[in-house]
Amino acid sequence: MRSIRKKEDLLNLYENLRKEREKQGKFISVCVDTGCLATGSGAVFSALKEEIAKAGLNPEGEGVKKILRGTGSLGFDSENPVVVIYPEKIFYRKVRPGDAKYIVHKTLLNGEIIERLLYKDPETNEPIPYLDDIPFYKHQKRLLLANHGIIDPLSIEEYISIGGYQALLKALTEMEPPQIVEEVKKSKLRGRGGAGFPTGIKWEDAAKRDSDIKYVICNADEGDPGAYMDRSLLEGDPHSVVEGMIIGAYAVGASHGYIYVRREYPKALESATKAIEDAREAGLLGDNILGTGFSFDIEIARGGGAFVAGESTALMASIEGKPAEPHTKYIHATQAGLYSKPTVLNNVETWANVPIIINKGADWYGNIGTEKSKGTKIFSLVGAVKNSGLVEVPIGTTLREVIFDIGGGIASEKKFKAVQTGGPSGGVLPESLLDMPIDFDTLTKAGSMMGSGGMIIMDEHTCMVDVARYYIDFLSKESCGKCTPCREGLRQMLDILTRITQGEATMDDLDLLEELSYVVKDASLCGLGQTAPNPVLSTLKYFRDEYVAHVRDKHCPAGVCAALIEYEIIPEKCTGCLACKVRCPVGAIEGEKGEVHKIDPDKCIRCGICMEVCTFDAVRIK
Amino acid sequence: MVKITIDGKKISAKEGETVLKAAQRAGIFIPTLCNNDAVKPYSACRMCLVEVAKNGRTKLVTSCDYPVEEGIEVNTNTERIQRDRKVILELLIARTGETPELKKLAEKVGVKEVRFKVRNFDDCILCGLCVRVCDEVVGAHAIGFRGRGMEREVVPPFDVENEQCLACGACAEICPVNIIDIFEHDGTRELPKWHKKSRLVACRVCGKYFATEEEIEMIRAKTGLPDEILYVCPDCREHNFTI
Repeated sequence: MRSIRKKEDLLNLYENLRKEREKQGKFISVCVDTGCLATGSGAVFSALKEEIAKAGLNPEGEGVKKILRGTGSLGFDSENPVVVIYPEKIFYRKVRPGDAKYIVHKTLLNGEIIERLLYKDPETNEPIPYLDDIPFYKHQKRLLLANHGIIDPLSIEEYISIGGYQALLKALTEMEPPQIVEEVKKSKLRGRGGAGFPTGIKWEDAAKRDSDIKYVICNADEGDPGAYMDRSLLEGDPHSVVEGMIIGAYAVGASHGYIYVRREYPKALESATKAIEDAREAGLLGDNILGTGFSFDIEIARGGGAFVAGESTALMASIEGKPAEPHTKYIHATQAGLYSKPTVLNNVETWANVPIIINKGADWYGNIGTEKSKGTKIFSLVGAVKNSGLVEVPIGTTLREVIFDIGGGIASEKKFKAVQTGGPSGGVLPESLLDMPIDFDTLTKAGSMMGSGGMIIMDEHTCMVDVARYYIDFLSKESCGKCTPCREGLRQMLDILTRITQGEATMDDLDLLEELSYVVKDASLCGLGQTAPNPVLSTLKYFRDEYVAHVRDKHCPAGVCAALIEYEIIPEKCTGCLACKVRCPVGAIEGEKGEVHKIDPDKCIRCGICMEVCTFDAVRIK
Repeated sequence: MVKITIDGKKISAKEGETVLKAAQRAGIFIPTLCNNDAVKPYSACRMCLVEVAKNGRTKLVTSCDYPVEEGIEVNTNTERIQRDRKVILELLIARTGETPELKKLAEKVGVKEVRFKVRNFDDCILCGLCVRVCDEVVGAHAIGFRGRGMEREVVPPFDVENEQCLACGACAEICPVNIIDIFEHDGTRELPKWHKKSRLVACRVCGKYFATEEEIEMIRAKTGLPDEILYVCPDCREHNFTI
């Protein structure tokens, strides 16, 4: 690709690519991001490629006119592998390689819809042919994920063909840096990494600093279990992040940028690297961008996988080659950050919002969201929910809308019990708060947080003490260990929680747990420790009865905590089939064939295998 | 000069100094464990937490690295701080067992009992002073942290004896809980915690052991002084030479 040296070069290129793209007829898109590949979309992609070639067509097409595209995730991960045929957006789910020839011959070549591959409305069981009509998509507002499905993320030409880098062009040739900062401030964009700090104010502070060098950093060290929106954005639309960073760098006067990606994200690393290389080759990174005299470049910094490295000061220490350990932030990074120079650190999703704001303007952007938090937010909706995947909604959408309208409610016949927002150090919220609008402030007030956007749904068979114990176990291992409250406090919290789940705690322990939680929250050095007690404090607030049941009655109401439950066989239902007896790993089940079986509670290790294998529902928890 | 208030007392602090420094000069006690003037603040033990009120908002900060600002109101002993301090000290005692140094501090901040299970995981409180003095003052970088979270510990690289260590003993000297042993016998100095054994050098004048071979070599590399000076102990040097 020839180098873009001035404004006209980019405009001409865009015109040509856009016109070429307009001639694009039908095309098939297959999600090939990490999550989709894990469900076998790679084989589906290969099969489709082969079938298209067999039909005498070139799957690669010419330039930006492709017949088959490997794209970023479409988000509906419980239906993967997903194949969509554009422009109609015919949505095929759970596609197998064997379906490829039908998709090519029937749908691509003859416009026929294959009913058996369609998503069915769970209530009416009616097939829904088009993506936009599926409830999972109908209730979303996909701005950041808009390009997922329609472009090959590894092609800068495709990004440019649909208007990519037009925001950069506008920012660099029509706006002065202070104007850009003002626009971002006006948009009320808040940091999507979790804390929700107003992005424009951060930029303004960095912009006013006088320094020989300034930095911008993209935090892609996503580490929350179950959260993958940043990975998906980097894999599915890396240029939107790069474009956002260049605009940000221009606005604050930075000359150098880093994308800090965790090493466990090889595909995100690959697509970010490719995007940077392509942008550099095209002339959109490097010296004298678009002939404006502005120079800026980005390099990749790879993270080693410590959860705490996502904390901004730890991340910068890691880029400097030091251990990823946080330090206090009394002097802001915008004053002295990376290598003690003014630094703007934003999360992947925050950067991806920037081109949208510049393109459409802060006023347009301001129509989406709540009074104090504008725009959309991507959530990774996982757990006991029917439709799991990545969901993008305006900030201010209620939990109920996300979990029930988009998520389709609980996957099994069980009832909804709680939702955890904000990753491992978010809070667990009960059913009574389902109508709460999701934004930074409401979630924090309720004892949880927005975090990076993890949303884990739990049904009634989830024990809240066990959940709190799980997260504290995770966080105590991920604490860097530098400060006392986080290192020692989490260790003691874990100890108390473990004793509660084993029925060995007293009511005094409950009080001590609560007091300790407040101290860890208060006194810890960084965000990890300051938020770590959230799962405990929120479950104590909303599900205290469950704690009390464990402590006082030595009973786990959800039937989860092994030490507090006993399995028994219902004599009326047992047929004496031996299935449980044969599978019991410790020989705790007695009874001959045809006789009612019996579990010896002294031998039983509460593994639950008997209950799982019984086809007559004859095993229950006492 | 910066005017601040600490516990109701009006204080003139120096531009750029920390709240802890200002408080210490004014004779106000703030407990510390990981702080020492020889090295940079580290804000890890969290004992020195204070409340700072500014523009009507109160926040909890570590006084060891919080810079003074005009007009701030600092409170060093509110109920919240007392609670946090006590719990932090309880947590440390639960980690190490009751050592004389922690016991003394516990009495000072009012810890009556340790409500957590005392487990004696390790006698080190991980304040990092030994690591920092070795890095920042000695410049030897002979020890560092290994592991994270509950696994964190101070070790020389790979937990084996290393050449960088001068056996100078600065780590033992600065340790606030006195757990780094240092022995001298038969012309050797030993720091068992770092698996370090060094030969001592005797003064050419008085014959007393006065430094390790590594220390002498480090000084030689830095200063280029001749053996006649290097191998004479500071006492004798004072009497015999004018440098």
